[in-house]
Amino acid sequence: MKGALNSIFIYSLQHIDKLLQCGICYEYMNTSVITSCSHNYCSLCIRKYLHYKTQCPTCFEETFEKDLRKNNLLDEIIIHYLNFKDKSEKKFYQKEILTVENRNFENVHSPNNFECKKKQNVPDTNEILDKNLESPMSMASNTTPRGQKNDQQNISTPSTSTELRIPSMFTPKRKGFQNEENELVECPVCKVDVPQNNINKHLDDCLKRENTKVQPKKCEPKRKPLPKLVLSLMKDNIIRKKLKEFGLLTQGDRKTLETRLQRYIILYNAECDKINPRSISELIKQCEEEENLERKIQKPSNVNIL
Amino acid sequence: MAALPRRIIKETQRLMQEPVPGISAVPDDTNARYFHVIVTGPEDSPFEGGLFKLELFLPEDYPMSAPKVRFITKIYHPNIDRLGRICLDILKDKWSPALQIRTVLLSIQALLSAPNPDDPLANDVAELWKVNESEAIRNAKEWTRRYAMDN
Repeated sequence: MKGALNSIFIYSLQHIDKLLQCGICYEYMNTSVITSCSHNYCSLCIRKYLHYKTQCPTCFEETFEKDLRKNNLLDEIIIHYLNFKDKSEKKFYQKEILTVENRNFENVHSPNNFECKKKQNVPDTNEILDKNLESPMSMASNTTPRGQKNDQQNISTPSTSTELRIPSMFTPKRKGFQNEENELVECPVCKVDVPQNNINKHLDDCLKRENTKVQPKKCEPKRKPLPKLVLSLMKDNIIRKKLKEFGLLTQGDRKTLETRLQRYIILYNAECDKINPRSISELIKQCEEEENLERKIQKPSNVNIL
Repeated sequence: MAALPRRIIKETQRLMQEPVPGISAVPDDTNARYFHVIVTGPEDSPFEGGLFKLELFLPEDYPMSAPKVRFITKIYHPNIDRLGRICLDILKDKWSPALQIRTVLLSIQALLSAPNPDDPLANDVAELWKVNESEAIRNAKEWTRRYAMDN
C-alpha cells in the first residue's frame, strides 16, 4: 500500500515536472509567458521562435509577440516547485525515483537543471509559502519506509512539530476553530468575519499585509518593450545608428549587424517580462558573448550536410 | 563543440536510453549535432527486411529550424530522391520546435509504410507508383534486397 502511494506520488511529480518545462528549450520555464491559445514558454524562447514563424509551436495557431502575456503565477509555482524538489531530492527523491520506472525522467536528476534557478533573479523565497510547502513534504515522509523516517525529518525546517502550521494570512478562514460563543464582526479591510476578541490582532495583520502588497508594485521599474523593426528595409547606416543607440558594436557585415540588432531586441523584450530585469550592460554583455560563441561554433559544424 | 544546448543533450540521452523500436540514432564521436541513424524497413512494406542508413544533422539554430535528414542507403520511394533527400512536410514548412528528433524519425519510418506518390520528389518513381503499383513495389523490394540487406 505504501509502495503504491509512493508511486502515485512520484508519478504525479514527474508529470508536474514535465509540465513546468518549456517545450522549446526543455528547461524549466524561465520568465514564462502565455499565448492567446493558452500555451506557455520561456519568454526568450518563444520570442526567438516567432521571428521564424508567427505561430504557436504546439497548436500552430497564429501568434504574434504582442499576444504574449507574462505568467507570474507559473513563475512562482516553478520557483517553489524547484525549492521543494531541491530540499527533498537528496533524501527522498533520488532513492525512490530511481527504482520506479525511469521514463521521461533522466532530466530531473541532472544537477544542471538547477541552473535555471540561478538564471532567474529569484527574489528571496517567501517565508509563508515556504512553510506551506511542508505539507507535501510531510506526506512524502509518511510514505517512505520506516528506516528513512529519521533522515526525512532532518531536511525539513528545524521545527519538530508535525502539525501543519497555518500562516497568519489564513487566520480569517479559521473561524470554525474559534470559540463559537464569540460574536463575529466583519474586518473592514478584508471583509472576512472574525471573532470579536480577535479583531484587533487580525486587523493589525491585515493592515500589515496591505502595506507589503502595495509596496513592491510602486518600486517596480516599468521597462517598455522595444518596437519591432523591419530590418530588411533598413539601410546599413540606419542599422549602425540603432546599434550605437543601444550601445552595441557597429562593426561587421550586413548579416552580422542584422543578427546583432535582432538578438538584442529579442533579449531586451524578453527581459521586460521579468519582475527584476537585468541591467542594460548585462544584456549587452550576454549578446556579445553569444555572438562570439556562435562565431566559434560555426566554422567546424557547417561541414556536414548540404 | 562548446555550448551544446541542454535540449540536445536531453534528446540524445533519451534516444539512447529508450530507443524507438526499429530505429537507432547514435551521435557522432566528434560532432554531437551529427547523428548516424539506422531505420529498419517496416513490416508489410516493400522495404521490410532492409536496414536503411540515414544521416541527421541538427543545425545551429535547432530547434528553431528543423533537423536536416538524408538517406544514405539507396531506396526506391516516391518521396525520396536519388540523393536521399526526403520530401516530408515536418522537415520543411510544418516544422515546429514542439517536434523532436524522435518524432522526425518516427515520421520517416511511417513514410516508408505509406509512400505518397501524389507529393513526389522522385518523379519517375512516383509516376510508376501511380500507373503500375505492383511493378513499383517489385522495384522497391529489389532495391531493398540489393542495397539495404547484408552490407
